[in-house]
Amino acid sequence: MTYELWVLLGVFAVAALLGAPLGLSMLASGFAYLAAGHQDLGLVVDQTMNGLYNSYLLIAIPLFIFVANVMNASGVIERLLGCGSAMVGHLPGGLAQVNVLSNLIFSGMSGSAVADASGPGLIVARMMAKGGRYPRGFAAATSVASATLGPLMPTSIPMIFYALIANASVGAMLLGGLIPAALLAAALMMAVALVSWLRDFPRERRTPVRELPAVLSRAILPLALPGILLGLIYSGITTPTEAAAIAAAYALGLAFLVYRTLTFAQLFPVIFATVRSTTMIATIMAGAFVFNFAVANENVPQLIQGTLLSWHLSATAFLLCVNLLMLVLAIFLDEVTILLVIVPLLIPIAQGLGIDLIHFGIVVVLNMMVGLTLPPHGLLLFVMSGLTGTPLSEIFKEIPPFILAMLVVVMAVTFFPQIALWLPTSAGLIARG
Amino acid sequence: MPEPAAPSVLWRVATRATLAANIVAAVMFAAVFLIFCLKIGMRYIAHNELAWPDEVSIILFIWIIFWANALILSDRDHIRFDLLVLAMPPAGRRIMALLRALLIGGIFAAATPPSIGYIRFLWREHTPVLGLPLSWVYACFGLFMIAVPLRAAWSLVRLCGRHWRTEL
Repeated sequence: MTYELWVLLGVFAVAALLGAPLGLSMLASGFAYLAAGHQDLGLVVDQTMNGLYNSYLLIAIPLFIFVANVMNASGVIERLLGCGSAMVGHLPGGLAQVNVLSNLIFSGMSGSAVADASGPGLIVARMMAKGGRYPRGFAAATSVASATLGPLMPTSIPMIFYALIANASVGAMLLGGLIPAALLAAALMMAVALVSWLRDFPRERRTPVRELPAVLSRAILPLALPGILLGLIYSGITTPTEAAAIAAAYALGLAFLVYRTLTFAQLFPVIFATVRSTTMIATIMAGAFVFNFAVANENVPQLIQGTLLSWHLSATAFLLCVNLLMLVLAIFLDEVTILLVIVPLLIPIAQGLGIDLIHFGIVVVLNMMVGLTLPPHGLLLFVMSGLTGTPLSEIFKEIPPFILAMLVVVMAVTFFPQIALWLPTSAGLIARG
Repeated sequence: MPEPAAPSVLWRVATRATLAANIVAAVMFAAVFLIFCLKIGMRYIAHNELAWPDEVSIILFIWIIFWANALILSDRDHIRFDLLVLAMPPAGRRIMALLRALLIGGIFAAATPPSIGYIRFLWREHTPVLGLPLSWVYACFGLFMIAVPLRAAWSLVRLCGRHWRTEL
């Protein structure tokens, strides 16, 4: 390692540990790196601004965040919960099952695990803990685990990031996530059923069949959004970024014209919140462009690649190493940082080993989601603990069965690429048979 | 001027300015959305593929990011690794906040002149469709480069003053 590289990593580590924003820490370390090598500091401007200017796909992100915020503010969640309750409420651990299912449904709109946790996850966790029907730790743990479904469903922000850095098809990534998401939901529901059966948790009243159409019709319009998005992208009617704008128009139409639950005055706070979240994410992106420039300049990818290649790993062994690496990293870093700084280093190796990049992307995203739920530092644990006021220790105690269920799915997707690749291949988005 | 009035006037000005900055950002965001709607509408209704919307929306996107970064978001709003900070007693947090402001503020302060020099130098390059000078397009980064050291300096002043606890 060169002296300049030590400066880069040192400044970044010190600034980050002192609690500076990660994006600013990366930019500052980029400046320090250039100064140490007696290079023009203006290169940071060049890398950051050109990087952002050429990432047209990124505009989809504020639009998707906006969709989630509009849906949140217009009471769509209650409609989805009603629908979920009618479908799975009568199973063992009824409300916990509703939690999983409504996250799978809602995730189609938010695409961010943290947004899901603070949307439907929070509401169901409160419903579950009310009157002591479920231990609050279990209620919060269910919401934490369910929130991981979001980024595997269309409008997924991590998938868009991955498509961007791997130069992969957004459509193929989104389609590839569907079966793993369904498997993950099934695994979580089984975990809920097992725990509920062992601990005798309550069930909800079974909804009579004749009431089902009414309940479904209340939720049908928001439920259609993921389908509309996928349709727009695959048919080529719009680019993914334009599809995001149409999703935003659809959400506004629902909120203003159909449900009439949002007023113009309420729209401003929704946009303010969107701008904030976008800026948070984009600052890390800006820093990552500089960081990646420095790392590439120092041939670090080749170094890591060389090391990994010298181990003569098989494709499967490499994926298992990546699983482990992602889980560990996700405990300490947030998903955007991992995707933008670490994953670009791994993509060439995956390619070299003949791993399909769509498969690799799904494995990476899936792992990061599991990582978000791992004690002691998984972000979702903190979000849920903060929102519900449940002590972290109580959530830690209840989360292991869910983690186990998720790891089973991670392993299944790792060993059987077809789980991720079958749908995009069938749709003709991946060239090979 | 009476002593307690100064911060409240300053506070009111700051609140109004933040609100104004928020509204500007919201208008830029609304413009991105409307430009997309216009573009898709023109393609399928008027069968006219416009070239400028892509360029304008990405420029607005960049401006939103650095505008909000410079004028709206505080350090606390950003994604950060705060496990270590939160484990410290107040005095420890104060030292960490001081070091943080010195490190980030110092590096950005040193980097601001060359960065702005670089942006100014880009006046001779233009965007492909509308032919706008890149120095204008990238000027938002200059704004951000000025705001970060100023914010760090303000934080240092507060951390050294009597009300340092409110800055943690």
